[in-house]
This record gives sequence, C-alpha cells and structure tokens, in this order.
Amino acid sequence: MNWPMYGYALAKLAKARGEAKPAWLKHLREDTKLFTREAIKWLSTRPATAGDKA
Amino acid sequence: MIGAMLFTRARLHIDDAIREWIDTQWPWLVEKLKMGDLAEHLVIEPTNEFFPHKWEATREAVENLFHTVVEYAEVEPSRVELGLLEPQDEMPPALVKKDDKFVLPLEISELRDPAVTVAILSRKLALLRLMDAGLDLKRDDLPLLMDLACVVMGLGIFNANAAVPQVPR
Repeated sequence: MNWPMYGYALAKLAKARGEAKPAWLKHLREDTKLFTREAIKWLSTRPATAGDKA
Repeated sequence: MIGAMLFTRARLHIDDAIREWIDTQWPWLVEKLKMGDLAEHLVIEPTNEFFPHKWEATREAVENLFHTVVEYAEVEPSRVELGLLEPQDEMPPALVKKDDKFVLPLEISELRDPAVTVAILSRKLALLRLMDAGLDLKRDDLPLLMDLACVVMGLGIFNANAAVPQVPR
C-alpha cells in the first residue's frame, strides 16, 4: 500500500479502537501522519460501521 | 499537497475504489484473523518498551527481534523459524515450508534498519495468518491484503513507515 492508503487504514484502526487522537501517531513518518490525521477527521464525519468504537 | 492539507476541510487522498476495497477487506480481515475487538490488542510502537532487546548486527539480536515480532503477530513460536540468507539475485519467497514449520527467509542486507526488518517480518507473518485463515493465495490483491493485515494486527506503523509514496506495491 502507499502512504495515503496506510493513512486511511490506520485511521480505521484508530476508529475501531475509539481513539480520536492516537498516541501512536507520533511514531509515523510526517507524510503518513498527515494522511492519517486527515482520514481520522474524515471518518469522524461518517456513520460508525461494525466494529467501530467511536 | 501536504501543505494545503493543513488548512482545508478533511478529505481523503485515495479514490473511491481504493476506499471501498479497504472498507470491504477490513471487517473480513478482522473476522478471518480472529481479532475480535481491536481495542483489546496492542498497537506496536518502535520504542524500547516494545523492543527491549539491544539491536546490533549479531545472530542473537536478530533472533531476539524475530521472536518479539512473532509474539506481537500472535503466531505460535514453534511454527516458525528465521532463515538468514546472503543477498540473492532474486527475491526469496515470503515463506518456505520445512517439515512442520515455516521458515521466514530474510536476506542479511535487510537487517540494516531494525524498523524495516520488523516491517518485512510482519508482512511474512501476516501472510502465514492469512494462509491459516484459508486465503486464496492466487488473489490479485494479495500484496495489498498482506499490508492491510499488518495494520489490523497492530504492526502497521512499521509497514507504513517503510512504504512508498503513491504506487501500491
């Protein structure tokens, strides 16, 4: 997968764990971190799906 | 593009087909890998807390790292062993069946950065778990599925940091 795909996948992981601001984001390289933050924000506007915590 | 992202409304930087693929595969992977509630699993971080053994270019250090990743991937340790190789002309297979075990071949040239080594091992272990789940290994999207499985398994930070910018592997 490429950086934007990882960003979306990691955002789904955060949502499934109920993490709006995951502490583990700081370990991502800056570009992927930005894609992940964007995707977390985007997902927060979407209805929850099966398995989501938030 | 990244600069503009800081000041605009949140949007995704993947197209709808890719998002739909991830949305479809995600619950399938959670079920097939028997992950249950993902909040009950660790997200593995590149820190001394998660990797307490000193990293150095020794067989012992590599074996320690291997066993740590096997534990985090939730694979039974007795099922796998590490196979260190001199650099090859062709990329070695992800897994090699040997008696009742799977060998994970790893070229010694891939040991320069322990974080990359973790990413490579995670992907091989993800494949093993997918095989255990009965995955059709002829699927066209197998490489992408292995990457996504690493994220589901909590090892995605390493693979994301080792990924390429735009072109899917």
